[in-house]
Amino acid sequence: MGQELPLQEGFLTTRVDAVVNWARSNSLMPMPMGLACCAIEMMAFAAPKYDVARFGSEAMRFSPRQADLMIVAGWVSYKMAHTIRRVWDQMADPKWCISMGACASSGGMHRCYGVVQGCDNFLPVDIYIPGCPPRPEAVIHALMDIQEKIRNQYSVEHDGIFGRNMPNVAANRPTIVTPDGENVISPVELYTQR
Amino acid sequence: MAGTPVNTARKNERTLNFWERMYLPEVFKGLGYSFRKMIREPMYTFQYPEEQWYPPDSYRGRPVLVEEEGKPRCVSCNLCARACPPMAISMQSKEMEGPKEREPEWFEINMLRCIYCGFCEEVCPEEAIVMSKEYDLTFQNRDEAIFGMERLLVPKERLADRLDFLHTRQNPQFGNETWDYQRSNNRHSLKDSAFLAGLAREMDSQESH
Repeated sequence: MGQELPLQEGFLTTRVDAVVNWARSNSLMPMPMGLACCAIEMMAFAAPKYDVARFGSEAMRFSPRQADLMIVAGWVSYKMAHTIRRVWDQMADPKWCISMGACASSGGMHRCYGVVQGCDNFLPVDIYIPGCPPRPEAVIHALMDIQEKIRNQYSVEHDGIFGRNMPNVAANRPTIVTPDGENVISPVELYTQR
Repeated sequence: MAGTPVNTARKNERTLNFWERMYLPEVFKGLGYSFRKMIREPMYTFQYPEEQWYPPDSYRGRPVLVEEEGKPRCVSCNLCARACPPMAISMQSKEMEGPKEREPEWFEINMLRCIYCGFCEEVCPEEAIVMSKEYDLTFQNRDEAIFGMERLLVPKERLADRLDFLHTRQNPQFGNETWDYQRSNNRHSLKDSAFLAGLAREMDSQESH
């Protein structure tokens, strides 16, 4: 990258990282964005039978300020999408997102005008769970995947550079090829053309 | 006046004795009851990553293709793709030599669209797509959720439970008079190869005249 980072990967930062990641991964507080029937299965995931307190995330926080894991459970209508994005923006920063169930992940069987075809259209989803609804085991599996993801990240270095010096990665947008197959036009041009 | 404590004691109310009025012994008594329950009662919680639930034969997990002698049993008729409510299945057919005539060139199920309804299994005339017992799946991105043939094919020996279940429980619901699935019926061909060979010979002889 050739970019000067304020905190390099050294002994101190990696050790602090290990502690911070351990703490973060074992105290995830889910924000239950229960929108449909998947929310019932999400309750089972927190209930005594599949006790998610064993993974330290039994404290469901209904306030976005106190949560750091959003579980989008259920189908997302276009009206609700704005609210979900707003709640997501209100969550404090080290935050993760699970898209639970077929409807939240890809629209599922609701291929209709009112439903967003996948909540990753407006949220950065980390883990997708298939199923209609998924069993609580699969939700716990997704939680364990998130924990694994947290344990493998560089928290201190990330926090040190966050918002100031983040490497500027170009967004990966689809390209559109003209019918003659030679010119590639960007979607921006396509929509601004008369 | 608001905020003034009112004596709400009833007539026959029991007065607390000295230890009860000390407050803390009662707290520890309650805690002791809780801890005793924790130790003595059998554990109710399912220890998920260590113990896994084994589904019954009637369970609908993720759909898989039946593999028979190294090849899919599927004849690529597109009925499952037609029946699929979320349109998760897509395939491309190719022509084959032999009695089967058609086979999928590629076969994809978008597992994020799939709702595990089992319509594909129900509609399949060849028992080529069945529901397995796998229920514990997660994906990191949407691309990895599109299962191709290499991840869908499962040898039929490993699906014996489900296939037996279908034979005993599911298929008779349509009534054996209208449609009875039999393995021997499964090898069919619309092409009469003997007739076609004879036709070719006849055409050759006509051209030579």
